[in-house]
Amino acid sequence: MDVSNMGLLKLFPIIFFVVLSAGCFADTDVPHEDIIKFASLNVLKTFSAYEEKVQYCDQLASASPPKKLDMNKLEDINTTREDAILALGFFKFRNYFNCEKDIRMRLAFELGTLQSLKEHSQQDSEIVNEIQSMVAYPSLKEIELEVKYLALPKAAQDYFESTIGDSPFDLLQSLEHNGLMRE
Amino acid sequence: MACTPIVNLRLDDESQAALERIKKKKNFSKIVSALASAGIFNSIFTKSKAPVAAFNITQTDWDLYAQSMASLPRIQRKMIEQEIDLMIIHYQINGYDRNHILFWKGIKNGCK
Repeated sequence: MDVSNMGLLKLFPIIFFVVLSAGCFADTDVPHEDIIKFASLNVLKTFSAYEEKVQYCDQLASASPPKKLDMNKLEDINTTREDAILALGFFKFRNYFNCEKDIRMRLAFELGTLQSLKEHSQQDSEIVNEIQSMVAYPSLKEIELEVKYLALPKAAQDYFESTIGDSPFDLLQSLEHNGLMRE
Repeated sequence: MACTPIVNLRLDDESQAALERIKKKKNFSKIVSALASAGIFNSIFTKSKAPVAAFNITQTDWDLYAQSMASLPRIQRKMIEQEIDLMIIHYQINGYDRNHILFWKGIKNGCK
């Protein structure tokens, strides 16, 4: 008998025990309501974590100085005032999204899990859907902003990407700081 | 910062649609509390089940419930701010309108 077979032989009692006990656990049904409760608790826990993350990202934005764009450079790369506003708007949403991304993904997952259990619960699935789309995913307007931004020339995108960076910031402050806010 | 008085503001379709979205987001806490009551405390609140069974709601359950409810205003505020930022971008880029800018800026700053 070779060594690997001997190893397997030693493992056999353990595997046998695990399979046997798994069978025992499987026999014990967990009431559906406990499963729903578990999934709901996960949603609530994730909401709390999301709140903390929102606070954290807001603090980063408050601590960050307004983004400064070089108007001469903008002229050199044929970029208009509207392009600059669009870019600041796009990065405001993208940077916040990146800051909150992990927790929003988790929340979408937890809400999706709850949704998948709708057959076994009296959960109003429309409510779950509504919350999921409000909290976890970008809105139509945000995606529209992204589409418009990605239509800008590559040189402009490169400039904005390197100048604005990836930390959350206050949009209004940055617009005002660069004299882009018309009142 | 005090808000600038606005004369003859006629909200256009874009602003009205944004206000509708904000209204919906203002109901967010109600929606989530409906979710919470239908979910975590499902057994207690549902109509179809008689309140005779023994329920185990741990202190952790209650703490989490309270915590998530308390956390809502911040998340809600954040969602509303996002709508306002989108409106500010909209009126700065697609058709400037002073009244609309003042209106949305005032809402954003809360006229404080």
